[in-house]
Amino acid sequence: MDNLVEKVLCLEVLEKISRLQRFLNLEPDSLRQQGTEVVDIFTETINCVLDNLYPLLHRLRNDAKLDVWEQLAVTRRLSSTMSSVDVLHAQLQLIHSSWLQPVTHIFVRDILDFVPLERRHKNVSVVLSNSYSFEESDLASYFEYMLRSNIEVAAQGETPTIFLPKIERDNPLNWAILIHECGHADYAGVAEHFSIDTVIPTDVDDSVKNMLNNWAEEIYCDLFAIKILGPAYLASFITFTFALSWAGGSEIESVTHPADIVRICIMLEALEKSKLKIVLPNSELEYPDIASFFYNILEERTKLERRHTRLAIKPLKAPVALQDFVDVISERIDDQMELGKKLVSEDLSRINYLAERLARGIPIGSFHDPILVDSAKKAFEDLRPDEIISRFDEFKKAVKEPRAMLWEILNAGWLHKVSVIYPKGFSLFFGSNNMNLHEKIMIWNSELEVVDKLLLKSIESSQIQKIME
Amino acid sequence: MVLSDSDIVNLLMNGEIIVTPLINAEIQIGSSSIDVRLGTEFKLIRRIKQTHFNLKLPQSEIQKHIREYTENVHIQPREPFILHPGEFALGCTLEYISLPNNIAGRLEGRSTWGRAGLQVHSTAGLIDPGFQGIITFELHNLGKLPLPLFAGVRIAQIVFYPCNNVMRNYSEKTAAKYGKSLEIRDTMFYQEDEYKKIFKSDNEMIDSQYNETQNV
Repeated sequence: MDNLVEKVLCLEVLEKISRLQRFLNLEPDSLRQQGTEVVDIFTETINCVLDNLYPLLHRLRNDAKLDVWEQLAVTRRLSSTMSSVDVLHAQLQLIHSSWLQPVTHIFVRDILDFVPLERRHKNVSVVLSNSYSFEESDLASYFEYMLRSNIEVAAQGETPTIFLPKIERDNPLNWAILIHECGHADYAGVAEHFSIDTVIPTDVDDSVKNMLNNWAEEIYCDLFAIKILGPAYLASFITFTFALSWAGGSEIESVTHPADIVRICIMLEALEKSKLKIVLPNSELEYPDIASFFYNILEERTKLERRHTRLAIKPLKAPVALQDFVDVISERIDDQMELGKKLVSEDLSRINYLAERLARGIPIGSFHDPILVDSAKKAFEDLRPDEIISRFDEFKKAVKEPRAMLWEILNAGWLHKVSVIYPKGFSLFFGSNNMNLHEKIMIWNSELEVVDKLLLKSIESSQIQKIME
Repeated sequence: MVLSDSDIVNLLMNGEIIVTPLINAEIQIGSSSIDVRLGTEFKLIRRIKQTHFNLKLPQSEIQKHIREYTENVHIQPREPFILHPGEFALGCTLEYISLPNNIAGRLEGRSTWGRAGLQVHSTAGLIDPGFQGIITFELHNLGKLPLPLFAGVRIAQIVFYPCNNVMRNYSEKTAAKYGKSLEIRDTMFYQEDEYKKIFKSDNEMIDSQYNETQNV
């Protein structure tokens, strides 16, 4: 048989591709039910890989014996296709979405509601990632980029996908960072409204322009998240930075991101302007509110590192004051989001009430208005039975529980974490007791697990209530 | 005596009974009950190779078999859970329930769903005083057509009874296994005191043998 080697090689490559397809079809229903488009983009990319083989198959169908150069070209093409299959195979880790908390999809859909309908993505997929970083990527372009060196692949449509670190799977408090990533998915559609170019000096070279555009996007995503969540996003962001930043890392900017400390200051200013403060109850925590608590612990850590490492902190290279970006974005961001109602300081009064409920182990997806209940209670005690009958519907209304918004749930969660869980941890690990470290970790883990479950349940029931109301 | 709507509202206002989320009190509070809604979690029974629950095995092994015996299903809002004719599944309330020490509750079906053949509990409808957590449904489709069940739909109701002089409430009961839970728990019948007594000598022997094999 002519071209035997090429034909066998080709069959092997095709078998690998078909096995890849079969794997994708193993659990498509359960994966799709979770609202992920990741399986679809895998399937489309595999189809692209197959398309690359058509001319080659055609050539092999023709019985004419290949000359040595053609043989080389065919085998090389098959090898590069096989490399593409390898690359895709390595990415199968992304479709272990069945491990993802089903509530994650509810969470992301709730966030997408803040983007105006004409610009809103139908879906933003979330996948668990092996690396500890929150990222947003267009999966179609990502696959195109990875396969480009092997074969020609054209990205099919947009598939915004967020990578969630595996260990954050059950932790809604840190899902706050997913909101920043949702902002990235939205930025391409919104960038033109901010006219960022007008604040970038014309005399800088393209690399600086690119850097500044990247920074503008990051600032937009931070403010997008602050508008939706208030202090809870800042708390999430700082704990993420706090745990990761190496000596003084929070003070160093990169081509893609302004320095974390600069971003934090921008967020603090936005919270200050809106008077959004979550006051900490009297405690030993030294700081009056959530934002200042987290800002100060990060600042203390950075100072400490700076003193011991004598790290030279590079000054910001930006030729424009970032404040110009912040002003341009802040001025127009409200018009670019479906905020419905802006967060105002008065709304925060309910956070304490919700945090108290959490401390009692009660989910906080909804809550009744304590003032309304108090006045109804008083009336109920004072009225005669016949009066109670005539006003009974009012009493029923008083015990009705309006749903808690996502931002209320997460801010109450952070308040609970700082005011209840941290002190429990301080006493468990640094107080006097006879437990060994293994026992302590077990207790700590069960404390955290209870909070995770309460918050997951709360987010889910709030979303179901949104449908039922 | 069954508590009336005004008793229920009064207890809700005082925070003695907690039913949360109470999405629409006007509709949910009936003359002597509160309607409760379906949650998002289910446990279905799987076909497995085990011929029976072998209670002579160590508890960890029994737990493993029970996990194999049940399949967890989590539905999204607006997505139905289909309960097929004759099928049995565990479900749960959307609501978290907390009862005081002097009130017991009883889970009942709603006539709307009863007429469609849906049973919400097969045998365990009593909610002890002091219970806190979500309530587990023992769903059974007695009809001849599959039933699409959505989270948030009112499928059951709780009736309340005064219950004075309770000495030990549910959470204080030493044998309580399912309280303070936000998720459906698998059966833990093998942890009942009676089984421990029945298999006492066997278990001691088997546990030690099992531990030995594990060590090897």
